[in-house]
Amino acid sequence: MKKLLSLLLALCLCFGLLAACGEVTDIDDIDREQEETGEAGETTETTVPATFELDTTELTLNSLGETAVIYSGEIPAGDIMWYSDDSSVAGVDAGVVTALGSGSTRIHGLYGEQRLMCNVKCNVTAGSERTPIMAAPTIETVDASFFDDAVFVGDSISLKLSYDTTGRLGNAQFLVQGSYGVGNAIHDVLPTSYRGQTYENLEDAIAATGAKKLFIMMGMNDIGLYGIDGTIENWVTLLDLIRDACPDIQIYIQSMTPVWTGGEVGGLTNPNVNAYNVKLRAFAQQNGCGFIDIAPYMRDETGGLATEYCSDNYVHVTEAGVDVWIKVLKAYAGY
Amino acid sequence: MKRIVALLLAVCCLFALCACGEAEKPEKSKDLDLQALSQKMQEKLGVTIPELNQNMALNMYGLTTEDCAEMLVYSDYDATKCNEIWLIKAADEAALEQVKTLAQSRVDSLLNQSRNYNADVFAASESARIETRGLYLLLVVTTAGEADDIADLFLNA
Repeated sequence: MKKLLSLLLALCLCFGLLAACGEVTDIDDIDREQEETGEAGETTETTVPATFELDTTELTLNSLGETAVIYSGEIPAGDIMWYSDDSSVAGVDAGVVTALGSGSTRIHGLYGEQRLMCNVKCNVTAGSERTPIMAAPTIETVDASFFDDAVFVGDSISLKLSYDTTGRLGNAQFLVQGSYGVGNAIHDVLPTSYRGQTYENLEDAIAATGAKKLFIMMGMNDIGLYGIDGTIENWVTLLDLIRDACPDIQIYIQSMTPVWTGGEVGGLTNPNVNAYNVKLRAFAQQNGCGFIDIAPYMRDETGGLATEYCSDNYVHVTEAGVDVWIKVLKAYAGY
Repeated sequence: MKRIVALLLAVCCLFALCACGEAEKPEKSKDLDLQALSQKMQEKLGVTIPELNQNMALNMYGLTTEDCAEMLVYSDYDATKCNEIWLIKAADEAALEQVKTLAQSRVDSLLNQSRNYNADVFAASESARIETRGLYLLLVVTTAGEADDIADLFLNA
């Protein structure tokens, strides 16, 4: 009898364990299956409630920069996380898809655990590359020696400028580092290295250079974090700190360069960059600083960083971008 | 017979001991052709790295012509990559120490700015090598290959 009971108990345990090992199907599994079978558009309807549906799951765009709305549901489009599998083909912002290059991609919308997808095909014809809309200036108001007593301050965008070996910026000095920003500078988050010495405060490092002119470009690591107005408020503090440490220094603020369309992250979008630059220009003028507008020379027809000036489908510039940048500096620094 | 075998064994042992002799080491005081060495290093990494002029080396890293009898400094550091090589012959022992301090300061600076920003550059900075040989110093930070391979080229040149 005992043996029979033991056998039954063992059987129950085994069946129980086996049942627990059964596969749990979740959204990610469905997504993986879709990727394997290529049936992206068909299975989405089964994973989301009726209130969260795309207007279409198949979309074709035929020209560069063409846009299409793929979502008009009850949930605000801004509350949904949107992304593209290939941002060189199509980008998406709040349910609006923009054609950025030839090819196919999938646009995803994530809301909580729910996910929607739309297959997008872009038939962008050859010759419609994202080229700059403005030619680089050809006049020079200053020569290279103008920059001999200058220091450039900036973030990873300015890193590329700091390694220009052509000598077109004379003997300019550079206090630039990746992830730098106005907020970082006033809160002393990142120490600044100059000639092997480390300075806790940016203003002390600027003073150590002995520069008479300061060219500064920052905001890329700020506007997403502090917002546009918050960043401008931080500029007020930074300017005070710099002028306390270097009372006679002439300050030139440079506009923030655009983001490659399709490379936007969070608040780091071209509309925000443009709005920030407008406020930055006003701030510079109100505070006796020069303002050199680099951004328009870097833009393509979509308002983003032109392809030939962009090194990483994001925000960073190529040597060609640096070339234009220097030309803009030399064209406007003398005014 | 036993004696002969013992003798042969003893001879074998002697030969075996010879193998324990010191391998040929690169001459510490040997003059290095820094230009040729830098080319080899870039070929090994498969990249061409722009050379910084003396002003840039001074302004960016504090390297002076007083401390450096010979100086080749290369860098292509930007937001996406960092390949930096310093090949320096110091003026004297004291200058070598100063250059070594500057090299360490440079690595610390790269670590600071890439820590929360660029994982590749941070990993490369963590694997950076600073080596000295006589009055020569090498600093290498690379996202294109192994810093150890470049250090070996320097140490075995």
